[in-house]
Amino acid sequence: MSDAQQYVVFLINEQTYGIEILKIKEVVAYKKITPLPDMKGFIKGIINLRGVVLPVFDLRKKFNLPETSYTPFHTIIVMEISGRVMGVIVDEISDVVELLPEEVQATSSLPPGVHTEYMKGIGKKEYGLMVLLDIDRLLSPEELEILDAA
Amino acid sequence: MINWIDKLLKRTGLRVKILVATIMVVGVFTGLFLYEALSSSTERALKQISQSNQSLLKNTYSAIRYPMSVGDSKTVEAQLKDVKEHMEGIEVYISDFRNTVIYASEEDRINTSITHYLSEKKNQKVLSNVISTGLPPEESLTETEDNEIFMVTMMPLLNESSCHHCHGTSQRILGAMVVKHSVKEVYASLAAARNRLIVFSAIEIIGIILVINFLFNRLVTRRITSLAEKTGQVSAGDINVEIHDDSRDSIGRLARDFNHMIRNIRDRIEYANSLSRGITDAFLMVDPDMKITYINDAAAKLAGVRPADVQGKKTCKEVFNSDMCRTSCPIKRAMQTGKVSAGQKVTLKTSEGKEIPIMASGATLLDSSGKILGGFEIMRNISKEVKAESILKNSFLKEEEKKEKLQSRVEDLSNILNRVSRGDLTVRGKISSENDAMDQLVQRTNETIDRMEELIGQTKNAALAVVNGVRYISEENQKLSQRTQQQASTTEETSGTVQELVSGITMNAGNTQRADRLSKEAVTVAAEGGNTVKNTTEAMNDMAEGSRKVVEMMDLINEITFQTSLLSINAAVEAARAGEHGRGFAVVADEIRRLARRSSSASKDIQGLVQNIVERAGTGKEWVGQLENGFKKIIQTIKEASDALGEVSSATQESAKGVEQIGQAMGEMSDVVEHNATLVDELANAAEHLNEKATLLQDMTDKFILSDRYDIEVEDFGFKKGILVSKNERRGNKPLTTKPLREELATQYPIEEKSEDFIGKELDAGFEEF
Repeated sequence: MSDAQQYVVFLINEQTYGIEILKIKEVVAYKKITPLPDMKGFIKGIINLRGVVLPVFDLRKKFNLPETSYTPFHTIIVMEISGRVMGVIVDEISDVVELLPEEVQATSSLPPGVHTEYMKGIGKKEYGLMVLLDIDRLLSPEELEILDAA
Repeated sequence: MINWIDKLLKRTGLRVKILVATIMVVGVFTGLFLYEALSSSTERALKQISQSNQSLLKNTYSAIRYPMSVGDSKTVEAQLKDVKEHMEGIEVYISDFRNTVIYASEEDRINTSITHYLSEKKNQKVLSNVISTGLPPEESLTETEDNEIFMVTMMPLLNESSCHHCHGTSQRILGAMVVKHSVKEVYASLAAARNRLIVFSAIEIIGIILVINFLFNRLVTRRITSLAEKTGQVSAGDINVEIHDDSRDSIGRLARDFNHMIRNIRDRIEYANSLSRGITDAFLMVDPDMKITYINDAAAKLAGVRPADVQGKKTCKEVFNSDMCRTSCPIKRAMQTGKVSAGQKVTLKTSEGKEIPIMASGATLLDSSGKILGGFEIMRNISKEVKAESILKNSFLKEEEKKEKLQSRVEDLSNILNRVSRGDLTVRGKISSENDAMDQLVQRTNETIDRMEELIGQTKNAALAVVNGVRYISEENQKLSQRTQQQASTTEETSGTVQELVSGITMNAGNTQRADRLSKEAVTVAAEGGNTVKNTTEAMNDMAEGSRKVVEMMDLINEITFQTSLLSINAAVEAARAGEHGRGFAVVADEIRRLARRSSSASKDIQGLVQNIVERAGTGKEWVGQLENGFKKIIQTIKEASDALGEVSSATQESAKGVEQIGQAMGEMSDVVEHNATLVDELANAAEHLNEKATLLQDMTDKFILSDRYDIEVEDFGFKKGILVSKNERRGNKPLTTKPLREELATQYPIEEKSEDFIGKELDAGFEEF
C-alpha cells in the first residue's frame, strides 16, 4: 500500500496520461485565457486563479497534436513545473488511480524507438495503458526562460 | 584510696600533673643528692677532724714523749700550754690509768678526773677500754658539752722501754692521751654549707621546675591545649579551624595530621554541601526529631518560608503543614523501614493553601555506627510535569476526540454519500460550527446534492411530463388505431353495402340512406381521427419541448458533475498532500469522484435516452403530420365516396359496372384503411416504445428519492377524454342494415364523376409514404 503512487489521470486527444498527484496543486475548470502579445509556441496565455496570475500552456501543441476549441469541460491542471506554478490544459480529467510499482513500466524497459523524452513510464491497469509524464522534463530550459520572461 | 588518686589524676590538668611529677622527681633526687652531699661532707669534715686529731695526738705525743721520758714535766706542760695557746678549741688531756689527769692543756684541770671532761658514758667506757686493752678506739668519738660538740680522740700510752725507768714494767699501759677538738666551727661551717646547699638546691629545684614547666608548657601543654581547643571546636561542629604548628616533633606531626584530617573533613563536608547545594529541587534535612537542620531555597520557597527562620528552629511538620506529613512522610517511612523511600507522588499544601504536586524522596542519614542522625527529603515540584502531562493528556484526548469526531463526520458523510449513491437525495450532511475543511467538504457535498436533487427533480418532472405525454400519445394512438379499425370496418361495411348494392341491383333507398349515414359517420370518425392526430401532434410538440428541457437540464447536470469531479480530484490532491492523515479524506474524495462518474454516465445515458425520445418524437410528429394529411384525404375520399355513392345510387340502374367499380374502389379504400390501421399500429408501437423509454427514464429518476418540495406536478396536456365511442355505440347497437343508400345519396350528395384512376392516384399520393 505504501509503495503505491497516486496519479491523476487525464485525456488529451483520446490518449490517457498520468501525472503524480503530489506534483499537482489543484485542478480548475477551463476559464478564459488572456493571450499575451507575442506569445511563443505552446504558451496560450495567462489566467487569474484567485488573484494569482499563472501562465497556461496546452500539451496538444507540445505533443504535436491537432488543436481543438476549448469548452467549459476542458480542465486546467495547476502544477509546479521546475519550481514554477503553471496551468496545463487537458481535455478531461478522468480519474485518480493508485499504481503499484509493478504496474509501472519504466521508460528504459520500453521497446526501442519509443519517444520517451517527457515520459516517466507507462502505467498498466487492466482497462488500459497510460503515459506517465515526468512534468519536470516537460519544459526545456529555453521554454522555461520564455515562461520566466512572460 | 587508689580510686581517689585515680579520680584526682583524671580530674587534674596535664600541666598540673606534669608539674607535680616534676616537683616530686626533682625534689626526691635533689633531696637524695642533698642528703648524700651533706652526709659525705660532714663525714669528710669529721674524718678530717679525726685525722687532724690523730695527727695532733701523735704530734703532741711525739712532742711530749721525750720530755716525759726524761721526766721533764715543765716541757710537757709548756708544750700543752703551747697547744692551748696556738690551737684554739683543742684540749689535750693525759691521764693515768686511774683516769687522773696528769697533764692538761688547761692547767686547772690537772689532777682532776678525766671523766669530768668526758661526760658521756660511752666515751668513758671507750677510755677505760683503751686503757685496758692498749688499743686506740676504732671509731672517732664525739662529746657534747654545754651544747658544744667536741671530737674526742684517744690513744693509749703504752709502757715503753723509755718509761720503765720511772714506771717500772708492771704496768703495760700507763694511761691515755685524750684530745678534745671542738667541732663547733666545723659544724657551723658545715651547717652554713648545708644551708647554702639547701638554698641553692631549692633555687635549683625551682629553676628546674620553672624551666621544665616553661618548656613543657611551651612545647607540649600549650600546643596540646590549642589542639584540644581546636578539637573541641571541631567536635562542637566548627570545622573552620587550622593549627599553625610546623615543628617536626610528634605534636607538630599530630597538628599536621589534625589539619589534614580537618581538611579531609572539610572536603567531605564541602562535598556533602556541594551535593546538597547542587540539588536544585526542594531539599531539606532533619534531625531524628524531624527538626529541620537544613533547607534549601527551593524547599523554603515551596513552603513559603525563609531558610534562616526555620533551620534548627522548626520541625518539618510545622513548615510543611501538609497531609503528606501525617500520612506519607517519606523521611519517616525511610526511618521506619531503613530503606530509601523514593519517587512518591504527593500533594503539598502550601501556607497559602495552594496545592502543589511533588515527587518526594526521602532517606535516612546515618552515622558510622548506623545510628540514625536524621533524614533528608528531596521534593521535586512536578506541577509543570503534571501540568504538561495533563495538557498532553488533554491534548491527546482532544486529538482523539477530534479524530473520532472527524472519523464520525467522515463516516456520516460517507453514509450520506452512500445513501446518495443509492439514490436517496433527501439526506444532507450536518455542518458543525468549526468551519474547517470537513465542513467545507460537507457544505460542497450538500450543495452538490442540492443541485443534483434540484436537477433530478426537474428531470423527473420533465421525464414524467414526457411519460405522461407519451402515454397520452400511446392511448390516443390506441384510440386512433381503434378508430382506424372502426373506419376500416366501416369501410368494409360500406364496401359490403356497396356489394349488397351491387348484388341487389335494385337499389334500396334505406340502404342508400344507411350508406349515406355510414358515409357521414365515416366523415365524423375521420374528423375525430384528424382531431386526435392534431392532439397527438400537440403532445408530440410538448414532448419535444420537454425533451429539450431535459437536454438543458442534462447540460446543467453535466456541468455540476464536471465541477464535482474537479472538486473530488482537488480533494484527492489535498488528501494525497496530507499523506497518511488524508487517507480518510481520500476515501471520501474517491467516493465523490465515483459518484460524479456515475452521475456523468447516468447523465450520458439519460441524454442518450432523451435524444432517442426527441428523435422518435420527431419521427412520430412527422408520421402524425402525414397521418393528418391521410385523414384529410380520407375525409375527402369518404366525401368523394359519398358522392360516388350518390352517383352509384343514381347510376345503379345505369351501370352495374360503375357500381362494381365503386365496390372495387371501396375494396381498395378498405385496403387503404387497413393499411392506414397498420400504420397507426406501427405508430402505436413507436409510441409504446417511446413510452417504454420514457418509463425507463422515469424509473431511473424514480430511483432518486427526493424531498417533498420536488413533488411532481403533472403537466396537463389538455386532452379531451371520452371522444371515442365504440363501434357498437356508434351504431346504436343496431344490426347492420341493408337499407338502400342510393336515394339518400342521390338526394344529399351531388355525385361527381371521378375516374377510377383519379381515386387510385389520390390514394397513392396520400399514403404511399406510409
